[in-house]
Amino acid sequence: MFAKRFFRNKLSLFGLAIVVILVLVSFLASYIQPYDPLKISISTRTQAPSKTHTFGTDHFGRDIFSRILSGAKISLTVGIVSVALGAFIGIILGAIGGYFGGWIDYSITLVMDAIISFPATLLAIGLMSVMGLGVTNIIIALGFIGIPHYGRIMRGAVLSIREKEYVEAARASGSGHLKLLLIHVLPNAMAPLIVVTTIGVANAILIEAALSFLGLGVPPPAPSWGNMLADGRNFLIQAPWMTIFPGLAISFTVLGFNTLGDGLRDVLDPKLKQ
Amino acid sequence: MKKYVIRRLVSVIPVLWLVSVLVFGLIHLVPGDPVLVILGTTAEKDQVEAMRHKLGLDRPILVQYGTWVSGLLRGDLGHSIISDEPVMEMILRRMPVTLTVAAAALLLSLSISIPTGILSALRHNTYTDYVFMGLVILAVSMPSFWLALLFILLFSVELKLLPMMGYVSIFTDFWEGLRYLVLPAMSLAFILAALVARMTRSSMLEVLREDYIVTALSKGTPRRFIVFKHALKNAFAPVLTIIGFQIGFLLGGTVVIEDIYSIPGVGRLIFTAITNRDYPVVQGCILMVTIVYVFVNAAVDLAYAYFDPRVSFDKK
Repeated sequence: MFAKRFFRNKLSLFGLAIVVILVLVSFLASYIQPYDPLKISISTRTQAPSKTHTFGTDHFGRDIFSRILSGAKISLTVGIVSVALGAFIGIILGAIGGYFGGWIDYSITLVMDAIISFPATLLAIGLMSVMGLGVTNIIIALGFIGIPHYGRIMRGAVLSIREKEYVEAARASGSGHLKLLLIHVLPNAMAPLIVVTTIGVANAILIEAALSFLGLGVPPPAPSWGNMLADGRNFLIQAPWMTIFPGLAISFTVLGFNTLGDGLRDVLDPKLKQ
Repeated sequence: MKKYVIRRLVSVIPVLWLVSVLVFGLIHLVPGDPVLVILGTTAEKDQVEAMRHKLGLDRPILVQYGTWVSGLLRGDLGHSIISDEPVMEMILRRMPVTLTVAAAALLLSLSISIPTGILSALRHNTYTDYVFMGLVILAVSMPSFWLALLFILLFSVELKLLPMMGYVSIFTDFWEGLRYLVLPAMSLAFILAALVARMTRSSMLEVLREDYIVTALSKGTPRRFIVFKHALKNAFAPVLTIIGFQIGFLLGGTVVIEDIYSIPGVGRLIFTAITNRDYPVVQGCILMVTIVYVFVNAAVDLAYAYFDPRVSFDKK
């Protein structure tokens, strides 16, 4: 039923197609990239797009197309792993808070409210400025920022069914807390969680690009799209292709995850579809 | 309503307290010894001890937090390690610039998004609607800092219409200030406008299907009157929520945009402080921008109660 609705929804299919392409590109980058993305070649620096260099070259003569293909892996890794981390912790905390209630719930909700009170990009900048550069630190920072988004959904789902009769019945028949949460509560929260995680990947990719652009993300010479934009910024007039193509890559990726998320929302919760 | 206002404002206190704990904890996330990170590993022992004492890191952590918070309550965020200036003064000098850029972006985005959203809803499932919503999907996918670079390329380099970077306050020279504000505001407004337009459209569609609207239409009330007098006010509450939520994006985005356009706001201050490892300034900036965000969100919630009075009685 879900698959049928999903494949009938053009938006979901469009988003899914982009995401599948990106995943394939990130796995196959080393085979399909025409040049070594890290190889410096002074003789070919800042060359405009041509037959030999489809997207041109940067100030070190590196092929921009190859760097973009290679950068897909970094963006997707950061986006997906940070969301998985944030969702994992958020779901556990949300479930504990909603299920046990009382001061445990109040404390967890307060922490989540505090985290969500920070402008996300600003908190990411703050965390990266003290933790230092690197993919692992970005994943930790973005995962931390994402916790309340998933936690709130899970808590809401737990609260909505905590007092339901079938949950009472399961409890009375001796089901443990963990079993109750896993079997009865988690499936109830899956639809909104899937939508939020999909759009969360898009947001994480955007923030990672912003951090790398500001020099607070993936350290050079790794071909992160944000790094490439930061390089392009210094050659905006002489070599605009250094700015245009990495930006298009980010937009294309974010577009893919956003449309997939929107499409999934239409499929999973048709009431929200307008 | 009065009760709701008080309850909403009181609810801000524990959140702000925890925000202060998180911001205070930032410096303790520095791997290794933060003093050695600030001064470098070649620093003399005396220098290290003096800096440790200056930052209060030689005291128990609870005492450090207590001192920091009591200073904060008196409006004292400590001193910059580099210039020794009071951090609060540094921030207050730059905050109006950041808020001006954010406000300009917000105004611009609302002036685009509300009419677009209404038009899209009124022409639901027509080509106008499809084109607008297609543009919305594209706009939310573009990073604002990339747009900022493209705008510089187009409007400053190619067309030579607007200044590439810099800042003139609109309170000093309004027209010149406006010229400097256009590109940063446009860069930020694009995504915001897209999100608000989408929410305005879906909210208007929902309201336009309500019985009282259908009744008003069947009574022959002019369509324009219905849209602006009845539908828009009721559709505006959810739109306000998305605006409130996006203020965070706006403030965070402004920080990045300031770096691109060399605007002397809080964002530039943060980056200079990060480069100099001036942690008290970094902490102060993050805290102050977050406090602004928390209060703006509270104000948005109160405005929501105005547009939808049922909220005031919500016990949740």
